[in-house]
Order: sequence, then C-alpha cells, then structure tokens
Amino acid sequence: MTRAKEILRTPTMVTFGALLLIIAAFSIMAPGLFNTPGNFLQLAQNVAILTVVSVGTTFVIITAGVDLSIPSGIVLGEVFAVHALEMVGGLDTQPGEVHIGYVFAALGGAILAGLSIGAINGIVVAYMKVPPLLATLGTLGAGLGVALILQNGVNTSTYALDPIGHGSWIAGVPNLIPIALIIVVAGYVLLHMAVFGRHTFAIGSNPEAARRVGINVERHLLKVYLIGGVTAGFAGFLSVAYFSTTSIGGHSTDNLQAVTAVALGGTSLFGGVGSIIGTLIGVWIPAVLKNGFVINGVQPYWQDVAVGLVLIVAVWLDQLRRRSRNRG
Amino acid sequence: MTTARNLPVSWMRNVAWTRNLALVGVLIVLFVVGALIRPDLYSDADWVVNNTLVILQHSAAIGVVTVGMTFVIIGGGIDLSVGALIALAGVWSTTVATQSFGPGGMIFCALAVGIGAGLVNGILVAYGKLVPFIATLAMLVAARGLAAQISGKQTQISGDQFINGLARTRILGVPTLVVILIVVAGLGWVLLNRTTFGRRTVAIGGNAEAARLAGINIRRHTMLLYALSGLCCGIAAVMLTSLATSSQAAAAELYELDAIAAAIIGGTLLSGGRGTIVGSMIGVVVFSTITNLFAIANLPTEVQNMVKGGIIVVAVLVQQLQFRLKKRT
Repeated sequence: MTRAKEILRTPTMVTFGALLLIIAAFSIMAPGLFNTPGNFLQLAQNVAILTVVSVGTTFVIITAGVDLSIPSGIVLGEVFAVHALEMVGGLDTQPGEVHIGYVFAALGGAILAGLSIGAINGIVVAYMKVPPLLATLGTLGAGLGVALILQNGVNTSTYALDPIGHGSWIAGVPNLIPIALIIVVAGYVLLHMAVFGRHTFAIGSNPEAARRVGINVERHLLKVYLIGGVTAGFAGFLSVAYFSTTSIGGHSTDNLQAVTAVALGGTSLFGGVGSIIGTLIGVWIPAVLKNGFVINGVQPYWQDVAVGLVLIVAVWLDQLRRRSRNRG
Repeated sequence: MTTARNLPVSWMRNVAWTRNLALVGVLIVLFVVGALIRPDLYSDADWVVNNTLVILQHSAAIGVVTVGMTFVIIGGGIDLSVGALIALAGVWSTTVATQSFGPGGMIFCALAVGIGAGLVNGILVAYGKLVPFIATLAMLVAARGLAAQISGKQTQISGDQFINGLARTRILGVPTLVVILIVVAGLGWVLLNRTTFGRRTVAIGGNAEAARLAGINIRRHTMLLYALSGLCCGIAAVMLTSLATSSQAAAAELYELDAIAAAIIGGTLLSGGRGTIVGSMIGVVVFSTITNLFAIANLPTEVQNMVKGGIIVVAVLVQQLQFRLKKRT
C-alpha cells in the first residue's frame, strides 16, 4: 500500500473530497454566481466566528468530552466585552473613530468571560467528575442567565469594535478571515505539534493509561475546558465586532453547530481521534450547502436536512472504516 | 457505576425512594419559599389549587417527552432530537391538507410523524451502529429544517376545535392535558416496571453484552426505544398545538435539554441501566414550579436559567457522592 493511498483513506481526506464535490456541483449549477472570489470571501467571513469556537470544541471532544455551554460562553463574552467598553467609556464611539485602547478593553472582558466559564466547566468535569454533558448543560443555562441579568434582557450596540469587524488589513480581505486563520493555526500547532496536543489525545483514548505515564489528567482537562471557554469568549468578542451589537438570543444553537462541524471533520465523539483541519472542513460543509442552495434558488431550509444527511454519512463511513481496521 | 449493578435490588429501590422523597422535599421548600414571597396569594386556598393546576399544565408536554427520554436514557442512549421532532410533528399535523381530515387525522399524523422519525433514529443507532448523540443530533438538524420547509417558517394556525379545546377543558376539574400526562406517565410506569419490555430496557442499559448473551434482541429493542421516544414527541406536539392553537418550526426549542435535565434530576443514570418514571416526573414538576415561582415573584425569568443550571450540577454531584460513599462501605 503506497503512502498516497493511505492519505486518501484518512477521514479528513474523505470529508475534504465531499466538500470539493459539493463546491464543484454548485459551480456547475451556478457558474459565475457561486464560484466567484467575492462569494468565497463572503463565505469565509460568515463561518469565521463558528470556526473559532469549533477549534476549541475540537480539543474538548478529543478528550471524549463535550461542551454544550458554548452559547453562554459566546454571549457572556459579548456582554463582558460591552461592559468593559462601558467601564472605559468607549461604548459611544462613533463609526469611523478608532481607539485601540477600547478594542483591548473589550477583548480583555471577553477573554475573562471565557476563562470564567471554562474554569467552572473544567473544575466540575475534571475534579468533581461530573459527566461533561451535564456539567456544561448546567453552565449553559447558568451562563445565559447571568448574561441576561447583566443586560436586563436588552442588547447593547456599539461601534467601538468596527476596526476589527469591518476593517480590512489585507486589501479586500475582511479582518475576521485572518483572525480566524490565526486561531486555526494556533489550534493546529497546539494540537498536532505540541506536547499539549499529545497529552490531549492520550487522555481521550485512555485516561487511565495517560495517568500512569505521569500526565496530570485533571489539570490537563481543566486546561482543555479553559481553551473551550476562551475560544467561545473570543468568538463573542468577534460577534460584537461584526454585528456591532450583542446578540443575547442569537447563539442558542452554536453548540450543536460546533459539535456538528467537529464530528463532520472526523473527530471521534469517543475521544482520542481528531484534527483541526478536519474541523475546518466540517465548518465549511454546512455553510457551502446553505450558500449554494440560496444561489441556486433552492429553499434554504433544505440545507438543514442536507447537513443532517451529510453528518450521518460522514460519521457512518468513519465508523465503517474503523471497524474494518480493527478487524484487519 | 459498576458497583450499583452488583448491589442488591432492595438497596437500589431504597436509593430511588430516598431520592424521590428528597425531590418532594425540594417541592415543599419551593412552596414555602413561594408562600414567604407572596403570602397574600398563598393564603387563598382556591388560588393555591388553581396555581398547582397551572404548574401541572405547564409540565404536561415536557412531561410526556421526558417519559420517552427516560426510556431512551435507561437503555443507554440519548435523544437530542425531541424538540425538533415535536416541531416537525406539530407543523406536519397542522398543514391545511392535514387539517381537512379533522382532529383524528391531525392526531394520527402527529403520532405517525413522531414514530416514523423515532424509527429512523432507532435504525441509525441500532442497525447503523451510529453514536446516539450524533444520530439524534443529525435528526435534530434535519427535522427542524424539514419543519421550516413544510411551514415556510410561517406560524400555522390550528382551526380545529377539538384539538384547541384540549388545553381549555377539564376532566373532573383536572385540565385535560394533565390527564393525558398522567395517563402517559402511568402507561410508562407499567411498561418500565411490570413488563418484559421494561426489564429488557434496564438490562440493555446496564450491560448490553450480558443482555445480548441472555438472548435479548438488542438491536430491535434499541430501535423500539427511539420509536417510543418519537411517539411521545408526537403526543407532545398535539399538546403544544392545543396550547398555542398553532404550530411553528421553532416550537419546543431546547426541549431536549429540559427533558434530559428532568430525567437526570429524577435519578436516571446518564450511562444507562437505572431510572424511574416517578423520579423523572417529579423532576419535570420541580422545573415547572421554579418557572412558576419566578413568575409569581415578578423576578426576571432569566434568573431561572441560573437556578436550573445550578440544580442540575448539584443533583449530579449528589448522585456521585452517593456512589462514592456506597463504594467505600
């Protein structure tokens, strides 16, 4: 068996092939509309925020955990960001004004929110041994509640983060795209090129074995949930920057979207297997389907049905492959 | 968790009863808190009875879903698609075409859609060997999309007097929806505790391999569990349609989380093999009572999310503590 064939058989390549097929199909169906650089830039900007949280979720799922509290992490990130802006007096920044200090204040607030919710998740999961599904279900409700109380149920708008959400450092490329790329690269390095990633995989495939080779499993899990929290908080920061407002009710299904993207990307829900690149592809498949359907005049709601089907097929193929490998 | 299975049955029953008593204790505490906040309302006996019925009416739809969810979780699975299935069944049964068949046609349609979608879940999990989390997550996404497709994201008004009347009539002074919940929960209790189907569910959730060696057709049984959950969703869809006199694709959002939370609070083990219908039902009522309490106290409804989240975590912590203590002895 040549190495090329082996690479073609990896789950990531299968999903990547599926994505290419979908793109090719839409390009043939709507030439000149779908396959334009403008459309792809728009797509990349649309998926940027989901990409950021999905990177964090990849780490969590590789440890055989799950983070349902992503929506509350994002919303709290938004809320802390605007509260930080209010504290430094930057909430009423006019469109067009640029104050780097305000941007950093908001970023600090968002990261703080993410760290807090990640720390609670991590402590409850790692040290109190509560199943992740339940622990993060609890912080999902609790976090959203805190956000609503802090905001009195009303959204706050601000233009202070416009330079992040609407600027363009590289000619023609919206800022959210390079920012998401940086997070993806950082996630890739941390997961696939650092000891931290090795430990994450080790804990996911066999926590007891990981413990015996001297990994502090509890502390590592806490760190993984911190990553999940911080990426959610950062996504909240980006969301405020992009939409120029908090969106308390606007993220309720982000956790399921992130899990879908991660699962599409070949990361095993049983832990121990996964990749950042796969997640990146997994984020794109639903987005491309939706975009292509709209351009081709198909009712956009069919995209959800299609995403469900793609998810089933992707995971099913992955399981088939694993079973045949275990046999052989 | 392995220890629980080796312990004598009488002990397990004990734990279930202690837990249910503790939950009833929580209900009493909530009642006392309500009485302290609004003594003017709680001193009126008629109001208290009425309010209790309101709480139960609120519990009705989610309670029915939780019965199905309890079975699925005891059987070692999970069903994330319940909210979406309710929306799909609700929307499908209130299309103009379906409404022309009258209440019987609408109810049949809701139940059939629920069972059908549940069967798909079951086949994917049992025969496709997909992880329940993923299979039902995919169903969640797909069913919501299909519901939006059917309704065109419009709210569909139900013009049927019989269906709409369910939420507005009473049988012997008890709201009809509550009667439906009691019947469903009662049937669920019998099914779980007094039939081979129930025994098998517990056996599969406790130790699937042992159950298989004992000659249980695990695949078929698992499939049926998800179909049962789908059936419960169909019933809940009719109840929600009746309450709102309409259906929409966004109905019952996040019901899956409420149902899972209620079942867990009620003592159902997330890893399967243990759980009671009575516990789940008290869990549902506890959550509805909290919601009701916040409304009465004029507190922002948002705070209840925090309280609910806190309760879930505390309940699981208590569950774990019990296990650790039992392990030591």
